[in-house]
Amino acid sequence: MEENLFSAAGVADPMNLEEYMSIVESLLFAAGDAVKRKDLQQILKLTEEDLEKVLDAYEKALSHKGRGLRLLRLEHRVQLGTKDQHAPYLKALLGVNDRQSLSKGSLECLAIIAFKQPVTRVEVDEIRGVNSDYVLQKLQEKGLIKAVGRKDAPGRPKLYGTTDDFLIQFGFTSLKEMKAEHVLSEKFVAMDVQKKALEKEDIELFTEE
Amino acid sequence: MEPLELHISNFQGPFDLLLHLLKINKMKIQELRISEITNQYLVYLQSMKEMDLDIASEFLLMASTLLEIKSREMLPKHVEEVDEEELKEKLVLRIEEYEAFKLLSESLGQRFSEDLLIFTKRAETIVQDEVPLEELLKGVTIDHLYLTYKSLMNRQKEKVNRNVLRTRTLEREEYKIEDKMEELERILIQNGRVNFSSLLFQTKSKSECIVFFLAILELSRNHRIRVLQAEVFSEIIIERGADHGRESV
Repeated sequence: MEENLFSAAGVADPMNLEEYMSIVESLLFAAGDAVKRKDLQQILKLTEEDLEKVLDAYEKALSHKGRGLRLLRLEHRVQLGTKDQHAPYLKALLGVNDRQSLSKGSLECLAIIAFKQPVTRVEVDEIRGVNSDYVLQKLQEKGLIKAVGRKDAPGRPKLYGTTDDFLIQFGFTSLKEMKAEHVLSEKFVAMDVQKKALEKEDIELFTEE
Repeated sequence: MEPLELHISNFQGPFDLLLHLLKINKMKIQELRISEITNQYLVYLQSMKEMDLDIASEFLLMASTLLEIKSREMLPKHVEEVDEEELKEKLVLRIEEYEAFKLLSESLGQRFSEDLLIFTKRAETIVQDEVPLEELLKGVTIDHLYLTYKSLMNRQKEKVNRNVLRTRTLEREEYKIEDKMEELERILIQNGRVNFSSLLFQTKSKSECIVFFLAILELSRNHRIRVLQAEVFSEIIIERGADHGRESV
C-alpha cells in the first residue's frame, strides 16, 4: 500500500494531485527526452503554479528510497533521470567509458558562466584575466554552454548560458540546486545582481523554442 | 629570495599567478603588498622568458598594472593621492573575484570527476507513416518519364560545343537578386503568368540561373508571386501574388 502524500501531510487533495502525478509520469516516460513545462501545462490545463505543485509532489514521491528515478527540473523543461548513486551499476550495464576530464580553464569558464549567466565572453575574460575565446568554443562543442542571447553593447556580443546537459553531466537537477551546493560569496552575488539590474535593458535573450 | 619553483605553464592567467604568489608569501589578498609582489611577479616573467615560453600579453598587462601602482606608491604623495589606492582596491577586488570562481571551478571539477552521471533516455521516436510510393507517383505515366528524359537530353545537347573554335567575349557576370526580382515582376505584369522552365531557358549562365531562382524564392516569400504546380513533376507556374501591387517594406 502506498502512502498517500496528502493523507500523510493532512492536507485536502484540491485537484486530485495523484492523478496528475501519474499523468506526468506517463508523459515523461513516453517522451524520454526533456519535456517543456509549457507543454505539460497545456496538456494538463494547469497554471504554472499548480504544475509546480504537481512536480513538487512527484519529485518527493520519486525521492523515496525504493525508487530508482529522479525528476530533473531543468530550466524550462523537466525530464526523468536515474539516481546519481546508481551510476556505478548503470556504467557496468551500459559499459560507459570514463569521461575525459575538463581542463582547469574550461572549468573556470564554466563556473563563471554557470553563476553569472547570461554573460558575455568579455565578462568572462575580465574575471579570468585571459582570453577565453577558444575555451568557450570547446565548451560549446561539448554542449555544456550555448548562446542564449545578445547584449546591446558595441558589437552586439553573444550572451552565454549553461545547457540542460551541463546540469545532467554534473549531476545537478537544477541551477538552484547547484547554487545551494556551491556557494558564491554574497559580495559577488550582490555585485552581479547590481550590474544586471543596470544592464537589464541591454540584455536580449533568445526565446526558447 | 628563495629559489622559485617553476610550474609556470600551469597558471591559467595573471590572476592565477598572483594568487600563487600571495599564497607562497602567506599574504592575504586584502593585504596585498604591491612592491613585494611586483618584484616576484617580474622574476616569474623573466624565468618564463628564459624557458623560452611565449608570454601571453595578459601577463604583460598585469605586470604593467602592478608597476604602475608600485611607482605611484613610491612617488611623493600629492594631488593624486586617491588614485593609487583606488587602483589597488580594484586589483584586490579582481583577485578576490578570480579566487572565488577558481574555488567554484575546483569544486565543480571535483564533482565532475566523481562521475555522478545521471542517465536519461533519448527522445522517443514516434514512427510516422510515410507517403506510399504509389501515392507519390500517382498519375505519372511512362510518357511523362519519356518526355522529361527527352527534354533533359535536348537541354544537355544545347550545352555541348559543336564548333571546335569559337570566339566569344565573356562578359563579367553580375546578376543581382533585386534586378531579377524586378525583371520577373515586369514579365508577370505583361503576361500574368509564366512557366518556370521557360524562365530558366532564357538564362545565359549558371550564376544567372541561380540568381533567378533566388529571386523567385524571395518574391514568393513576400507573397508578391504565387508558385503553383498541378501535380508532381509537372510544370511549375508562377503568377502574380496577393501582394504584387504593394511595395515591399
